[in-house]
Amino acid sequence: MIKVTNKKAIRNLAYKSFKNNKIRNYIAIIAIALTAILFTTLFTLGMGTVESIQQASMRQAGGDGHAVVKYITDNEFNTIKEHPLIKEIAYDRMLCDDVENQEFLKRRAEFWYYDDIGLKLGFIEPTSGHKPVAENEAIADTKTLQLMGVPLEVGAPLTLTLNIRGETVIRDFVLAGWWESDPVFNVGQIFASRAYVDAHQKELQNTYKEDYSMTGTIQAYMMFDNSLDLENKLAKVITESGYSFDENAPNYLASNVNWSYLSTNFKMDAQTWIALIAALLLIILTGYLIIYNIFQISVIRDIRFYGLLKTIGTTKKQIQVIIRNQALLLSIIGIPIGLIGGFFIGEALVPLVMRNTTYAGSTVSVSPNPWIFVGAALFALITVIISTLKPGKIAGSVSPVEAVNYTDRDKKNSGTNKKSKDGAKIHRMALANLGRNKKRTILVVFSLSLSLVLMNTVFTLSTSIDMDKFLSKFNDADFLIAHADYFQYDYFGSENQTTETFIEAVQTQPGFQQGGRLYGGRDEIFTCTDNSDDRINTNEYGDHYAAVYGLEEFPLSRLVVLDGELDYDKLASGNYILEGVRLDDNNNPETESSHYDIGEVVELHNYKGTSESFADREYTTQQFTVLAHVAVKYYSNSDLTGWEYSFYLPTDIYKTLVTRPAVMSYTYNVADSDEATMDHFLANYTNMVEPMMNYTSKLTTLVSLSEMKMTVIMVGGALSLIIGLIGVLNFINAVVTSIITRRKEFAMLQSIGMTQKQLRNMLCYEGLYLALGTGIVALFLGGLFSLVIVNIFSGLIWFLSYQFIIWPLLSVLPFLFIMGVLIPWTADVTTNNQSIVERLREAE
Amino acid sequence: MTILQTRNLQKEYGDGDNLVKALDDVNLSIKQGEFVSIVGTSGSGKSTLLHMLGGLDRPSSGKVFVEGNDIFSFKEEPLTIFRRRKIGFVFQSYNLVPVLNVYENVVLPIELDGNTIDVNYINEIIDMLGLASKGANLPSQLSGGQQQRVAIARALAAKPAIVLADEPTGNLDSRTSQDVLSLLKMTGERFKQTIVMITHNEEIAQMADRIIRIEDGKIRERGEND
Repeated sequence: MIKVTNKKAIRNLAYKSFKNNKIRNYIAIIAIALTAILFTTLFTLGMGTVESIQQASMRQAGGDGHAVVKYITDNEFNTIKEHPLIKEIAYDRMLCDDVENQEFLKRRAEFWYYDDIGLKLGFIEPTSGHKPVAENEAIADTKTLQLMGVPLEVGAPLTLTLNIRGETVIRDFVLAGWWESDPVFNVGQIFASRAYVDAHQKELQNTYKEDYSMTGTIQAYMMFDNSLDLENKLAKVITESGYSFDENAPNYLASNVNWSYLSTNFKMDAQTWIALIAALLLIILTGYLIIYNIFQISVIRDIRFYGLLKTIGTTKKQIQVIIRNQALLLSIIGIPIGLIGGFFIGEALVPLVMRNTTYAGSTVSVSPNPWIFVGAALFALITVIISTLKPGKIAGSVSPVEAVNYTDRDKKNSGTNKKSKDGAKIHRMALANLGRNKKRTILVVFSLSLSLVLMNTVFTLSTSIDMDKFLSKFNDADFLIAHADYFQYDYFGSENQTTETFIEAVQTQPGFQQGGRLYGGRDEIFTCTDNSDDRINTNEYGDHYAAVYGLEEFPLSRLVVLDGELDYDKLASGNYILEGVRLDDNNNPETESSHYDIGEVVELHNYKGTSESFADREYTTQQFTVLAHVAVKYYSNSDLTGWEYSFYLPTDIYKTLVTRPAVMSYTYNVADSDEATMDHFLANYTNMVEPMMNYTSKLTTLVSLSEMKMTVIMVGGALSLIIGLIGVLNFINAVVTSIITRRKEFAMLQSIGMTQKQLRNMLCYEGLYLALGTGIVALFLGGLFSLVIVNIFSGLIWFLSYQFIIWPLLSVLPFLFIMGVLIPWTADVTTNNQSIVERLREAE
Repeated sequence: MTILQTRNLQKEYGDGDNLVKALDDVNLSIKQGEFVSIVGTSGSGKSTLLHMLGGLDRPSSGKVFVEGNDIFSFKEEPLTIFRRRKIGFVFQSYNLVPVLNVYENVVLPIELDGNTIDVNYINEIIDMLGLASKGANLPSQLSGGQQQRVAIARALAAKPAIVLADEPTGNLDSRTSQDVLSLLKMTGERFKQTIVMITHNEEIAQMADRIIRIEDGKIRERGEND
């Protein structure tokens, strides 16, 4: 093959014909930008959500170090920090075993020294004041300071009661700075200065290996180059520094990797993958529909030009290169616009998505991760290249002779006659015009329908969110109050029980009708004897750990009996018990969680007593007969722990079994008219009077429900809006180019007497028919999609009850029709600036 | 009776050094029923003259009278309507509407005017032009000569006073050209229509009653041709 340096000529041709296609270029740039927006939004949304969850879990884990070596001494720290794998290492030193201020009974606080890297990895940055420098300076989070009653001002005095190796030491500090408490981090943090550490070297001598005292131990959080293969890296650091992983070895160092790192912990499930791939395919399809259409139209418009190029010896390949170069040039402009736009849209949507995860309330962070842009740009580029393949082929394989007579229509139907004697009505001409290029008409109709179908699906999903199912799962009575720990899945017993003051306060509120306490708690653990072979969660006697709750009359009366009978007299006798059976997401009993038949005798045991160690307590035994099976309503009558064995007793009987009965929660009903007032009162009370208490209500559930609906609509709506925009753009492009390519035909029509008005009427009819076609296709596909796919999907998600709706689609149709008329009209007005004669002459 | 008349017709393009006089003080009058051919080389201004006569283009100065009406005193919309009632066009490149069949193309001007179709008349034209069997065909299924005959039928459909033909045989071979021209002339006589035809082909021009020569925008010569 002869090598010719023709690149420059081809580039020049590509550029010249590019410049000649201004309208096409604008539309193509917008289309490419919108496609890139869709990809970037999707990626930002995905990455942002993952990142926010990751950060939230890092803060729960206490920092974003990749791994930590724990309880080490200064010498050990100095040895390890030299290891080449370590990029950064934090020096975090515990300054006491416990902070024993009375204020921290309910919310523990820790007293540390963190070096600068430690503060950075722990996300701690005083928002006011400065880092501690002097020996008596300290910084803390706002909630801790609030509990201590320390005003938020630099120099405010604070006193800490420290437990140092069992001895109580009281020290005074002054406040140097503070930061806003992180809602996901439920431990108070107080930090002293390096000067403090230096001044108390002796007291901070690490004795962990002798007495397990935490005082003075160092936690070395470390960062590696990246988060891949953390466990191996940590193992290398420890062994190559001369220490051991073996717990029994004398040179053993306790350590672990940070579980919040995705590569070692977070795995995307199949569902997420399918959703992601489906979304990617949808975007590629949307982008393809328009970009293909734009290039196809422009190639056919310029077909004579390509024919000419061929007659003068341009090869097929070179013409394809010309088209591809144009596409790339357009991408260079369009994609960056889309990347920026998409990032901001995605960033705005992440908080909405986060709100519906368990990480609600934590700070949302979306950083412009380069991978978002690389990925989105790549996908957008792939879409552009795929879309221009076929038009390139058409342009490349046109025969030079044919090109002159190439008319823009399907080749196939020239064989059919048109048997009509009705004459030429304008609206029928319009319809016939649409049939000229059926493929393109179908493409435009389909591209517009896509967004309508998507939008209808979004609304169908949000309407199908079933309020009743939601309420019945999360709320039994109108209100449930308990310690904040209870709602954090951390209820223990008498230490964090619901206060009587709180209960009294709600009982005296207007509209209070009926309420009752639920007793329970892990600090006086129950077991039961079961003959099953299962030995999981058993104690030294082979008995199974079990949850036993004592219910006052109100919650007792609200129990849902699955089988057997709820005879209150029999229950009160103390010989009978109710066994709890878990429900699945669809409120069907999980029969395997029932272990006893009705009438069977259960042997219950309890470690009775108040001693810290269960071994010092009395192991009691009582026998009960199972009276009925009742439903365990996870959010209403359980301690939010998934117990294998659950039992319910009347309070009076329950109290005889335990030493320190603890109020787990209190549920009550309120007159309908006073629900809002009560909700307001609770919000206020739990904020101001007893901040450690919290509540749920039907109202709060409803709020979270409407937030969820909102998210579905916002995220789905944003996507359908962009896809809709692409559809409209496609429509505009099709109409404008069809007007431009038929300029001569229109001139002829006008020369034989078609008035401007009649011409525009015809164009508007064309638009109207397109809109009509779109409406019909969208209704059909939307209905079908809803009835088949959404219906099945709704069946899989417990809180969805499928409801068929088509009104969102119907309500958009009028706009579609208006657009169908308006776009051809304006397109003709703006492009029709040549006289009839000029247009007639054009082709001669 | 004079049906078509121009008075001091001027058409200029550009200005200053680039000023081109496409038509320079053209005065001519055509009687009813006359078959006139306008001949000239390319660039002589013959197409411009035809466009002026048909009201497709406006002159720089001067007037065109059709049946005594000063057509450029009309606004755009009434002019279009006047044109479709009084003037039929036949173009070199046929200019048929590709999505309409032969019959629909022929009756299009009548329909655009919202009139009822004189079916007998239309059938007569179609028969005369030998298109009777092609009524349901689309233009793309016809030969060039057939397409031009459809264009002639269309030009006659609205019973116009004048038929303006712009190089009607320009795309046809000489045999077909003769056929088409004979048909044009015959229908013109049959329906008593005035025909003005542009051509650069002397042989074709000879078929007309009168030949008008145009050169550099000026009428050079008048000749009666019997």
